[in-house]
Amino acid sequence: MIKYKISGQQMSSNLGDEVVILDHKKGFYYSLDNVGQMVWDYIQKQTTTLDELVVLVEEKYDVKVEILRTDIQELLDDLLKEKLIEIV
Amino acid sequence: MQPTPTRIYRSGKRAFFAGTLADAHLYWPDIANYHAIGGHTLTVDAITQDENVLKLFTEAEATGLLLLQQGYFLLHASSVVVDGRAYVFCGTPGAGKSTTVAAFVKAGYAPLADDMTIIGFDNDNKAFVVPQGPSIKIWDTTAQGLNIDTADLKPCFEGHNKYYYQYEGQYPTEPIPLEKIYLLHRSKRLGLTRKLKTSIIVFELLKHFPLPHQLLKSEYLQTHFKQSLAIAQSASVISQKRPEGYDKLQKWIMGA
Repeated sequence: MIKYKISGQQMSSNLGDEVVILDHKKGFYYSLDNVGQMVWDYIQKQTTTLDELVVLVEEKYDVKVEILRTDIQELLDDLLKEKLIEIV
Repeated sequence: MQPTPTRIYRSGKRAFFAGTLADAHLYWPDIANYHAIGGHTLTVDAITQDENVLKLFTEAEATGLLLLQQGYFLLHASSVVVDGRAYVFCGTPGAGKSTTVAAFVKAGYAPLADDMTIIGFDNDNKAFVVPQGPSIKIWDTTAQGLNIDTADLKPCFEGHNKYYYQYEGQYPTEPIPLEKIYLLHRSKRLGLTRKLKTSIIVFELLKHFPLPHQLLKSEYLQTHFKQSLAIAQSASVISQKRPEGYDKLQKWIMGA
């Protein structure tokens, strides 16, 4: 199982309704809310896997697990592509 | 180090930058070369013979660099005091920053800044605005629109059509708590007023950084981000359609 952690070129702030992320190497800002915010919060605290994230989000959102898996994988791929997270 | 062009223009001239935040060089062709060091020293190597021109340039970005080195947050914005609280007006050129501050001064409110607002933070990370003096610079067209007689005003030397306009009341000597930042715009599409999300606020504050963009790199960018978040938490930031015309502007101020 692939493990993910946040990268060293970002800093972020969670302000309730959204999380704002700065990539200080590229000079880019990002914003995440809802599920994205939840996933970011979790990943920021610990190294994690897709399975763990699916369980986490499933507790809060009434969505089919298969759909959740696809969506969260997509989010993780986006975050990887932007180098905000890395594979351990 | 080779100076590179900035995006800062003043009186039709473009500034050049070299160095780092702690050791910053700012070059204004035909005006002066500035060197800001560690927040404690600003050396001025004057080229122009005109003392008034030199003063205008020295008091702008060059001093801004020194303040940035001291940990202040700078914003390309005008600002005023309303009931002991600071209101800041930000916007792209032509959105009404200087006209708005002039109208406030005319209505009896003290100006804090007419071009570059200096923001600091107290121990609780609450933002405040540093007063820069009771005098602002206004265009002749602004003076006419607000029925201010330019015959009574002292001309600036930043061009021929700008004047110093003086606030006559009691001027604040202490920093003023930051209450509101208005992002002025002229677009119908953006609506009349709108409260903004933090991510938009952070982005807008970056957009209105008044000093060389060469500084917005790794280390300082992190400071800018943290300070922007502190501002977003201590003040409300509002997207505001600029009142069209001087009458509407003055009416808007009465309601502020």
